[in-house]
Amino acid sequence: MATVSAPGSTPSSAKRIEVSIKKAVGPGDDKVHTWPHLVRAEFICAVLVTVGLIVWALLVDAPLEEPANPSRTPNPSKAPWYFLGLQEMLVFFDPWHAGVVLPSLIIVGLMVIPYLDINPKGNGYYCFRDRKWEILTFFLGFHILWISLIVIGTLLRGPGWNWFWPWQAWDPHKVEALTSVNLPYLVGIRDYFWAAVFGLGIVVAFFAVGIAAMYAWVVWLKGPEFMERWGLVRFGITAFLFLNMIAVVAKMLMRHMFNIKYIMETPWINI
Amino acid sequence: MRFFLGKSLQLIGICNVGFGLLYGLTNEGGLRFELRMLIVGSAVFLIGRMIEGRGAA
Repeated sequence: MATVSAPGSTPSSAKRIEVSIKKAVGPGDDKVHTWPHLVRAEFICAVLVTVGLIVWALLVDAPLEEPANPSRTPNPSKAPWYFLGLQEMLVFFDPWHAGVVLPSLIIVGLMVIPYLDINPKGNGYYCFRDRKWEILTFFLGFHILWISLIVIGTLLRGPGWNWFWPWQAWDPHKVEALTSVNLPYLVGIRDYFWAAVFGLGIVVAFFAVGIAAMYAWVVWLKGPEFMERWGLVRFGITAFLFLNMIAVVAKMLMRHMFNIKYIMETPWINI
Repeated sequence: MRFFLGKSLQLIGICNVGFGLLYGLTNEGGLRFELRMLIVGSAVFLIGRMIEGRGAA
């Protein structure tokens, strides 16, 4: 039997969690030790990947280019592939937002997941039925907001960071008219001050309505006792992070479909 | 040539390691053979790594 004491508590008042350790008898057993049953299988996977990489290294030369020449910059000038998602976001957001705020939200959001998640199901059993919300949110965050942007930045962006489909040649002379306008301008507001006020109102309203709608949805779906158990702080942080994810997708679609540059524009901050 | 020889030895070594692990996973009491394969595979891999060399910076 193993005993675990709650951190920070005295031995006399320590909460004892007793977990029986079952002796592993083989891979077919219900519960077996991580080592060697899991680690060995994982190591075999790593070996297979390494074999693939060595064969690749033997057959294909690395696509290295000539030494950098500051007087002749390449077009398009692309970041390493794993940063192309961030570079692609620069098309849609201010550099401070795409390069600082959103990556910070990603990192902080990933760090707080264990504190926000109170679903006891799925601890080690990641079946979709028990964790629909978590898995779908992960799908949105990882596949839509990260992987798809890397794919777009790698394969679909050519000279001038213009959009090229795979069957189109990368013509460096392609000219695209920059017809994007800010949302306040689109609805007819020409004054800078009132345009900023309007934009700020849209941003605030998005979060206010979004949080209220999400609150009503969670209460409708899971009941008020769940919301009481979850707590307003945990709910508020979750809703804020989730609405930011939705906002990124919405902003990108608005740019692609309606040529909207910014929702809110000020001399200091654009959103 | 040196590069290809080195990489090929690395490939053989890593395949040895993989086969040893697979043998250990699928056979009861196969630890001795598994360890032997792991050691031999690692040694062949390291020899390949030394032969391959790296160009001067």
